[in-house]
Amino acid sequence: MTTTGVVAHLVLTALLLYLAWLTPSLSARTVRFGVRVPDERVDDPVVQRETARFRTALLIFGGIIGLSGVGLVLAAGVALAPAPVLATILVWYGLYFRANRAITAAKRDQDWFAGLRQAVTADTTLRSDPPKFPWLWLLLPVAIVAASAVIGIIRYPDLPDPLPVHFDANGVANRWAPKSVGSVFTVVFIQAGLTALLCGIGALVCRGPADVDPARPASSVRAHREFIARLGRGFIAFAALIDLGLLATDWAMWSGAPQAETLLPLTLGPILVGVALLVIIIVQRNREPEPDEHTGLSHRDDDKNWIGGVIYRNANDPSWFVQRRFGFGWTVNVGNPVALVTCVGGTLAILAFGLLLPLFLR
Amino acid sequence: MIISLDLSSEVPIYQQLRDRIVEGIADGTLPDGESLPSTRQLAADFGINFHTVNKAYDLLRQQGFVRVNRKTGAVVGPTESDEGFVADWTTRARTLLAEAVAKGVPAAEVLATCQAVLAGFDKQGDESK
Repeated sequence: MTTTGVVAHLVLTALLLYLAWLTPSLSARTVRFGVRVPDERVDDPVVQRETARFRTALLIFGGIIGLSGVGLVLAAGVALAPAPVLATILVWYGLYFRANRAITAAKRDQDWFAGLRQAVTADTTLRSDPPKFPWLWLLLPVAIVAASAVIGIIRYPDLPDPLPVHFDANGVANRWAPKSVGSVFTVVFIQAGLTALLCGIGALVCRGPADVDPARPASSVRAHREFIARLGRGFIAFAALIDLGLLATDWAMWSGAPQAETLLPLTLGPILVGVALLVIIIVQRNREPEPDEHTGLSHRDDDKNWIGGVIYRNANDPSWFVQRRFGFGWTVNVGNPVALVTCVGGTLAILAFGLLLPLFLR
Repeated sequence: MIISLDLSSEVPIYQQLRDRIVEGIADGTLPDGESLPSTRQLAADFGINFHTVNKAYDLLRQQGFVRVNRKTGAVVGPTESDEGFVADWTTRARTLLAEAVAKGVPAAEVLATCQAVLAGFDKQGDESK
């Protein structure tokens, strides 16, 4: 179990460090460590110096966390594995914030936005003809969930009552539950729920906000459309891979003889492939070749709307979500009361549902 | 249609938005019957106050470039120009041409510019058809 813990710790820490390493590529081209910079300052010496410092410090701290995490897991057990993950995120944010301050200071002292025409740009065709969500691709995860359900239905009459639902590392059952639709199909419900959730996110992303760069609007809209199309397919593929991984868990539960050494890779393998797929899609986003379009406009300096480079607050902006500056994804506009209340309420509802669900299934 | 609003310009933002949409109608990027995004949606896409977009849409409606309907929102639908419009437009064109003449731009160049701009609207209109 400790070996599994050490491996899980190392994989998680390495994945997080890799994402942290990619910080400069995760944000928009003209956002460097959460600071809006003019197009021609993207490769400014200060930005380059801060990127190098950020990455060097990240490697050093990452090494320390990786090694001390191994010691921690070996000494105190797998329960403490989240501690190094938390430490990595704190270090990531700390270094990000340090770079953010340094670039902000240089930007202020050298007045980077002096004489530039700041603008905002939108493309109405993103609304009249939004990127299409690839609905046909949905057949893939739906087919896997359906296959899982069918296998479960076929196996149902032969399953023992009570049903073993938890196994130790040697594959010996150590927890049982009365045989019912709820206990036999638990994982299938999780599969269906995750598929709906991921595909829902994928569909929302198609309508999501686009950060159109006023300096090069046409190529920026083109890149956005390509990225969203890839991301939509990526989410569906991710859902399909998770379903596939969980199908292995279904099968192990229904066959009654799980082998930890084959079950774990069979379950986690597809999920890790899915994560890797999404990371590749996201990282490739900003590797577009330099377009030669230039309108002479610059993105508006909107740093004052960002608290600590992570929280977006702009009461004048009716947007609910904007692209995040730290990490990847979208963040809620806390300056929009309706959006804030809906998001906090929604999160609480999901948490409550998650806590109460086991009571219903019992 | 890609619309950029210059925040450092002296022209008010709602006026810029109104101007860009009128230009879009003229060059055919916004054909008759095309619906415009809702005020909130467009304001969110720009990241600006939705009252600003509202003001631009109001102006476009009053001046007869779009029809606003409770159900479908703002739809491009210019009304035919009448005598009043032509008179008003001539006054404004006079001011615009006066600026060029006062600055000493030769009349031939002024005419050539006007023709080039009109030809540009025609050409784009043909392309989008």
